[in-house]
Amino acid sequence: MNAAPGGAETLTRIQGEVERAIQRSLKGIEYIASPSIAVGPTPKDVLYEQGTLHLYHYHPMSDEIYRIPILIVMATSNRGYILDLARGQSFVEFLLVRGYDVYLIDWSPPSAAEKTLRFEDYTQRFIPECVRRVHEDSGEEDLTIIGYCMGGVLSVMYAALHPEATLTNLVCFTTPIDFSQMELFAKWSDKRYFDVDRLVDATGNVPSELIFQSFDMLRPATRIAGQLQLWDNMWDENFVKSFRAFERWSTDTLPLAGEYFRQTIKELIWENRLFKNEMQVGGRVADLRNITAPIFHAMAEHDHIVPYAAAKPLLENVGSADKEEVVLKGGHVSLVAGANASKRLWPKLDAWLAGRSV
Amino acid sequence: MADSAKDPMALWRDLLGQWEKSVNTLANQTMGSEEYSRSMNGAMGVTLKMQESMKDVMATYLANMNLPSRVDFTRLDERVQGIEGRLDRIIALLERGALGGPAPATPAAPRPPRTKPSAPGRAQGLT
Repeated sequence: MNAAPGGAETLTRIQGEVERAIQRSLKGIEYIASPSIAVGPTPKDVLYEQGTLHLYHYHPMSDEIYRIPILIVMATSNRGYILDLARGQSFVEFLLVRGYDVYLIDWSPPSAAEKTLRFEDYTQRFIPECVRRVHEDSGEEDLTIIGYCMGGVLSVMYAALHPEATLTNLVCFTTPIDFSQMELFAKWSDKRYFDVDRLVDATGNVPSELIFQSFDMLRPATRIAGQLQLWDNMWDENFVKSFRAFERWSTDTLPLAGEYFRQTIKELIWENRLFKNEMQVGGRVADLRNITAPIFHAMAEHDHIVPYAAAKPLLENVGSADKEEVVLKGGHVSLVAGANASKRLWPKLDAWLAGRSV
Repeated sequence: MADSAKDPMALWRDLLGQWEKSVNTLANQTMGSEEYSRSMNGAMGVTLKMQESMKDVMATYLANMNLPSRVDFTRLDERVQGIEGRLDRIIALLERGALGGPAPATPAAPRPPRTKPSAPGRAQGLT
């Protein structure tokens, strides 16, 4: 007797689920027993180090490269390997294969002695020194800077403070400008209740746990849901690899230099000075209208850390004539890293940048 | 929505997605209130006060035991960093030959020419 078609389908589904359940158990044991996943596989040289700052140069992967090198400025709260997670999932590798010469500023935890670092140090000492070293190493005066999140803020400040610099292109990913639109962060740091001086004076550098919790609290259910999704997909090796790399990165938060954090709260969040073109850095005003280089700003539709309203004013406020804004599906991290980024943002950036890199 | 009648796991995934969204929304509403901000920062103030008291007690204890404190180590760290910084500058000058030092033992690996034309490249292996 033949089984009904619906019955056969159900049987196949049950068999599939049983197989997956077995795989989940086997892979789950493997997952628990395995060491932390390796990240940042793209070969690179350390070009310069100064305390919390590390400047890397990645080995070119193309026989012929664009004339203008790229300097990526990573966010100060997280490790740069999000842009070089794994082979085939690496923004850096993508750029190298497409013929770009890539340098990256990465950050390590600031030492106790570096609690005094301020925006002045980042934008008038660190970035200019790295720019000088990229010029020296590449032999090119022109340069493209790509800044991610707070790395974007530092890049924007650098560009606004150094209109004389040979900045050929400026690329920002999810870069907040109007900090009054940072919703929850603005509410949590309400000046009536948040004593930033007391926090910084007591801790020196702001602990990474506090930074991690601040990000985590924005989506409190997501971590639990993520663990359940991991269990559901435990049979899928690629999913597990990708999940582990992202998981490692998201918990690998950096402490922030105390004075830099104090300035961020008081001048950016409380007074919104960058948005108002009133941000004083080392006696100079970071006036966004000073930025005249071609600029590309990518934002994510579902960015829970930097909402669209906080990032949007960047292009409206700069002096550049050549400017492009893209809003893509995804969140704060999936915009720049992972499978979706490789299909959405990366090719879009390549299309914009290639013609401006010769 | 997935075909949950045929796939019970799809129903579970849908429910998980809805649960995540609704909990996040509810939590954001709660955490966005003035009361939450006040109580969260109040709790942080208490924690910091405890830390400060503990720090004072430990500093006194370490001083009495003639042991270095965190502040002492920080000062040492600053001095070591200062020395490292000066060494870096000296090395950089040596590499540039400014101090009459020898040329680097291994010449830098040849770099590809910077002649790539403006048309976006389409390399293999990555989309």
